[in-house]
Amino acid sequence: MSVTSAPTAHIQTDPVTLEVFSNRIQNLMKLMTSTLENLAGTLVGRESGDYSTALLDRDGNTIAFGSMVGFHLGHMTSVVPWIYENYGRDSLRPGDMFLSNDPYSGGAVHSNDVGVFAPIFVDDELVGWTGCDMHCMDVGGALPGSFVPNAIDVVAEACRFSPVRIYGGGEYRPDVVRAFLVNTRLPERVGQDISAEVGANHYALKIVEETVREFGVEGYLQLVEDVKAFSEARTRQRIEEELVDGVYEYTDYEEHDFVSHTLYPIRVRLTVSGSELFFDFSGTAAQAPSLINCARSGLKGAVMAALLMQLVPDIPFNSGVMRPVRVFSEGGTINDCTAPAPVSLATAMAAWRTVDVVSGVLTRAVDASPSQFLRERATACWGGTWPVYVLSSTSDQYGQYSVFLNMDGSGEGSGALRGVDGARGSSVLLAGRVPSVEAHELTEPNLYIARRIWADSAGAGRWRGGWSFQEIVTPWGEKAADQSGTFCTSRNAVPTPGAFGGYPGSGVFYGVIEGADITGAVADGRLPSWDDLDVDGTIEILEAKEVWEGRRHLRKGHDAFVMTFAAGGGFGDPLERDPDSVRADADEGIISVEAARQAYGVELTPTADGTFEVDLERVEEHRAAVRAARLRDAG
Amino acid sequence: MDGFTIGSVKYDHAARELTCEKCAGRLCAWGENYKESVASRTVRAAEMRERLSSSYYLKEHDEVELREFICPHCGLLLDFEVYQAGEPARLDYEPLEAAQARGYDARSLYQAAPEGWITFS
Repeated sequence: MSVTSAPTAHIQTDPVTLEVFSNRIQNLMKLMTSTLENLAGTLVGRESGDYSTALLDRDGNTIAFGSMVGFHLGHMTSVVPWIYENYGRDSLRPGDMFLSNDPYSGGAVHSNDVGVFAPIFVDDELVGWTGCDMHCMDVGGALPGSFVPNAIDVVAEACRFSPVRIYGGGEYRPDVVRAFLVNTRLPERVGQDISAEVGANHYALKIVEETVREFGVEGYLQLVEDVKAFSEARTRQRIEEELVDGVYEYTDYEEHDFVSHTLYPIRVRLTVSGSELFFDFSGTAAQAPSLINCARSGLKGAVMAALLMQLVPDIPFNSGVMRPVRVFSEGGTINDCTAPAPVSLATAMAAWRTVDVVSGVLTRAVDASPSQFLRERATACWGGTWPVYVLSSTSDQYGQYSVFLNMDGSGEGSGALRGVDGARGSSVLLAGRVPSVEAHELTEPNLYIARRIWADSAGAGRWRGGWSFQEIVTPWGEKAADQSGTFCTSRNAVPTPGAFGGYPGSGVFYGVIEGADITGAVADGRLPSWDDLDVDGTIEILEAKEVWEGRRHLRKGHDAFVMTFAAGGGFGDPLERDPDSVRADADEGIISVEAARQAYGVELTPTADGTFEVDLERVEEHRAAVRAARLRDAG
Repeated sequence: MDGFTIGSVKYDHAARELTCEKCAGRLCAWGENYKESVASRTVRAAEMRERLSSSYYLKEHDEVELREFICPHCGLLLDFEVYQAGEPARLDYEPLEAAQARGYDARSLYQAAPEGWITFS
């Protein structure tokens, strides 16, 4: 087995000091992320975890990552090289801080990702960089929320700033910040987001300076090199000793470009060879004419995110992990598009799908491993999309202009893993959370009528996928106006894949119920139920991508908006599932009696208390019949 | 390397064959794609709803195929994958030497033109 890169540098730092340093920078990441969460301007940051932090070396390589959104890694490592190339390393001064949200200068996956980066100087010596990134609710462009299905290019999607100083030599530049905020529909809230990022970076500036004072400049720089060398060595060892050499293959599909319901395959071949990994995306579809693409930063970030979750979750994540990794892309593709292709939905579509694809191919590689630790990380696909539900109105419950992006997609069903059922969780928003209904209703002009488990959404399997949920809202509040919106989903005709015989999770849909008397029901002191609204009978299911702005509205208290979220794929043949687990799922409303019988081969009998019993003696008889039918039908 | 398992398929290097983990039935020879040898069928979106319940949703699309791959000996569902209509079955694993024999060698491609590949530091 030949190795194409230089052997790992000798680690000079003693193990104890290295561990202390490694923990210190990881704790710095926690401090920075909690700062973002505490100071953010909207629910996106405060409740939903759509942000990231990073500590970088002098060249912009990752030393530590606050792992909230895995694929943020792609652009957070691209900003510093862009600054060096365009402004020159010598132009930097202590106290500089840059704002950046341009997907094509490495500053973001989509323009909503507004980053703030600062060089770290100690006694005029550049020792590294700190950076934050947060999804801001609106960054201008043609539509509220800045997801623009009908944009023909990135220029039409949002206000974009390539890296620009908002602090120069320690002096705040209000003119620059104002120039950015004047282009958003929520200047106060986005301004608060940016301030949160500035604040988080100040923690890094302070703590890194203290660390440099403790170890000296040369000592600090050696620690930085050694944490990367340590992670590289561990990663190479894992690849070489715990993965099976060979070529693994996987494909998944993005879908619906707003113009038509076209499928866009994203293909990858993973070669495991010695201590290195080669991801080859040849054969991936050409870029789309609309917002579902991602640029190279999204591709790079997606590869890193999947590796972080499945191959090296126990190894300190920094650029050393990525040294044994090579990626090939033909370019001009849906997950490596060229400017000025639109990318406003990159995070929920092409970049997310690329995470799914890399996870899918890694699942085959880790499942082949002799390591139980790695085999337990073989997984069916997690949810696989972030349905974008943006509602906007001229007046919220407080009389203010309102743009609201529902962030409940972070509660998607996770994929089942080898040995474990799926749960609630996102493969992309690693620490994402679903805001409470109360938090929603406090900050947006909506009444949440229902939030419920979505029966049979989970991919059936020996280990069941994570179930998803459904919600119904209507515009609400004394001063609230009717609401318009922009809506985008995938996993609509292409379901969330299962693994190794596990069923795919349900597709995602959303829709409207018009003319429901919600106002009257509330006046009577009750919320209408799912059945009261006859959701299943009256819902108008909408296209996977819809733009309502200027032509259609949800009427306050009369029209209900139904949202669903992505479910996880199942793992393994459902006929191998423990029958008692099938019964328990039915008791909890996760699966129906029909699915228990037809997908799992388990007949359930209702009991007086509303739960179910299973006749274990008949299970194998029924399952044998299902297996025979499979073979008969397969011909 | 004696072998390994991916999903429910045992890759037995010593015996140069792939077998079903559940019944030990032979699926194909080492280096071949078992999905081309086993029983398989295409499932439409409407059938998924019939098999689960009306609560399960999948938009009908002419280009989307769900394919089941079934052990011909015991009926175990070995895989259940999503495809664009007409695509060949995906190969979960191919030995390096087999890939090289058909002309694919990622390492050589990288070494021949490293500037065309994305690296991370």
